[in-house]
Parts: sequence; structure tokens; C-alpha cells
Amino acid sequence: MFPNECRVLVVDDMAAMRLRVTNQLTTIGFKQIEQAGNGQEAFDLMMKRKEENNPFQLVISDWNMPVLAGIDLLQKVRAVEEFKSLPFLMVTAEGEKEQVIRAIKTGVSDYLIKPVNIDALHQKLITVWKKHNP
Amino acid sequence: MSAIKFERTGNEAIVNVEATEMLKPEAAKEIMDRIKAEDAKFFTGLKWVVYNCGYVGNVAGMCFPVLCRLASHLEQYKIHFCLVGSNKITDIIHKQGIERMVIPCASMEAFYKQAGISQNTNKENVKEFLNTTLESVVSSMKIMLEATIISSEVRTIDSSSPIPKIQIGAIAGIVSSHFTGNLIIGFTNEDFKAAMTRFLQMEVKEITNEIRDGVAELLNVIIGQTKIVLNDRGFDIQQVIPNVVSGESINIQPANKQKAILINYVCDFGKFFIILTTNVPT
Repeated sequence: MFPNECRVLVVDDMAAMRLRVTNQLTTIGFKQIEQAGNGQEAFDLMMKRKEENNPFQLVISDWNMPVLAGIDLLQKVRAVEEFKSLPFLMVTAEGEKEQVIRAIKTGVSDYLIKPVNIDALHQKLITVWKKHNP
Repeated sequence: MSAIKFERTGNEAIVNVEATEMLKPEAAKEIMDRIKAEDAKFFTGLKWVVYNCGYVGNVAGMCFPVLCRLASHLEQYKIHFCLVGSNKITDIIHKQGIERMVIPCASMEAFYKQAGISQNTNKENVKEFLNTTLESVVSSMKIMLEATIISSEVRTIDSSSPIPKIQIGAIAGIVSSHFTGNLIIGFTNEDFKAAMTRFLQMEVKEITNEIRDGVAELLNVIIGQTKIVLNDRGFDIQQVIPNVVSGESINIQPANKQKAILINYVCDFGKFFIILTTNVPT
């Protein structure tokens, strides 16, 4: 499982949802959590932290967002060499097959369909960790 | 000021422009300007714009060039333009040879037939949407709010029905290949604080801006669940991001003669309601 010191970025345009996921992550044990309100904000913050030699080690992102959607963020992230194998979890209300396939093709680590409770999030993080650390 | 009533209501794959007096060129231009002013979101899922002049039965001849320009503008969005009116109007359209751009129909029923919209089938689809939504509300709230929910009342409402006043709610447009409508969720402040205390797993004493958009997220997830189920059955539901409404005392009422369905819910943290309005008669 991800260590508690893992730097996590939570991306969602709904502030309440960011707060919910952040609270869930805190309960799970994570200590370093930052938030972004859309994909572009998230990408800029990721690049900034990378330049500071303090990159995020896990991204949890919504799909439907203004400015830059989660899937577009994922695409941009995967285009950066250092982020090619960064754990990226998509949490979204969009659960249709085509969208899941699109996310997988774009390189998502895993996918969670809302509503998500803390147990489901925890389990999925264990799966993502194992996937990236076989 | 024209006497045109312009709203994307009713079938809502249809923009119904009802005139209460003969359509004059300036009024036709107003329709065009107002439709042109809409942003791309407005056109999502829209297939028809209908000008229903059935009540007045006539259109000034000088309007037709404007209506043709309007039809041409809509064509780029793959939206058809239909003029519903008397046989006289139909004759004029045919005489002018513009029936491919301005499609004439003698009545709204004829329009539904022409557009391939079956009102009975749509009723069944709305019923299926409603039933799926009812299930989505219960399952979503159970996970998001750890709440056991019971629907205490389901009833149809109209503009004169008594509806509980709320202080916070969210509204989302729903566009599908079968019907269009709005789904609304409403809470009192106290019930919303109790709901958000569950949602955020922290005590919510005050409804800040950050907390406020939780109501939109609840609705977003409910519709998302419904969409997953029904899009597998060919509903092709497209959802518009919900908008939050809040105030001292909000009264949500269906517009004009439109009917809607209200579902009151009771649960262990309080109460809330869902309203479904559609273009299909309930």
C-alpha cells in the first residue's frame, strides 16, 4: 500500500467532493494531500512540484471538469516522461464502457465509479499500489 | 416587446416558440437573435426548433426570409426547423419552395409524427427513467451519506401545487434520445447540513461555498448512476453539469401548464425531495 508520506493530488471541480476525498484519504492515513479544481490547475501544480523536486506520487482525478477534463489531464500527464508510470486513479460518475475503455487506452492506473465509500477507495488504492509495485 | 414566448421547455428536444399574435418580421428576427445568442450547451441534444403559430394561424409573408436564415443557422448544428400552423401557412411554404428548410406541419401532433416522436413511447421511457432514478437515489445516498432512505410520497405536481420550500438545491438538465427534462434535488438548510456531515464525514455547522456545491455532487452522482443503467438500454442520456440554487426560501414550481413528478424522501438524517420535469405529459 502507498506509504502515508505519499504526496497525493486530488482533482475535482466540486469543492465538496475534493474535501470528501481528502477526508477519506486522511482517515486512510495519508498526510500530504493537495487539491486542484480542474485538470489545467492540476497539471500546472504537478509541473511546479516536479520542478521543486517534490513531485506528486499519486493523482486521484474526476473526469468531468471545466477547463481541462480528467481524461485530457491524464493524456497530458502521460506525455511527460517523468509521469509515464505515475499512479493515476480516475474517480467519476462516468461509468459507461466506452469511457472506461478510453481511460484505459489513455493509461489510467485504475477506475472508480461514484458513489465511492472509504472502503472502496482504500481497496482500489491497494490495487493501484500493487499494479505499480509488482 | 414581442408577444413570443420563448423557452426550451416541454419536449425540450424542441424549442417551442408560441406566438399570441401574427408573427411579424421583427418578431421572427427576435427568435433568430435569441437562438443565435445561446451558447453551445443549449444546442446539446437539440434536434428540433419548432415555431408553433397554431394559436394565431398566420405568418406575415415578409417573415419567411428571416425564418429561412434561422433554419440555415440551425442547420449547422444539425437542428431542423419546423413551422406549425394552418394549412394556409403550409401552402405558402410549398409555394415558396422552402419546405426543405422550413418544414411545415399542420399541428403539433403532425409535428410529432413527422419528427418520429411517439408520445406514448416517450411516456414509457419517462417511467423507466423515473424508476431507475428512484433506485439511483436510494443506492447513491446509501453509499454517499450512509443513510437508509424511504420515498414517503410520489405525486404529480403543477404550477399550483403546494411544494415544500427549500433553502438549497441543485438542478441538472437531462437530454436523451427519448425525452428531455430537468432533475432537481432540494433540502432545507438544516437537512442539508446533516446530509453534508455524513457526506464529508465531519461536522458541518455552516453552509460555506465549499460545502454548498455538495448538493450538485449528490445530484451528479444520482444522474450518473441512472445514466450508466439507461444508456446501456439505448437512452443516450447526456447530462448537463448541475447548477446550485440557494436562498432564504426557494419555491420550485413547474412552469406554466407543465406537470412534474415530486418524490419526497425521509431518512435517518432528515428529509429531501427530488422533482423530475420532462417534456412528456405525465
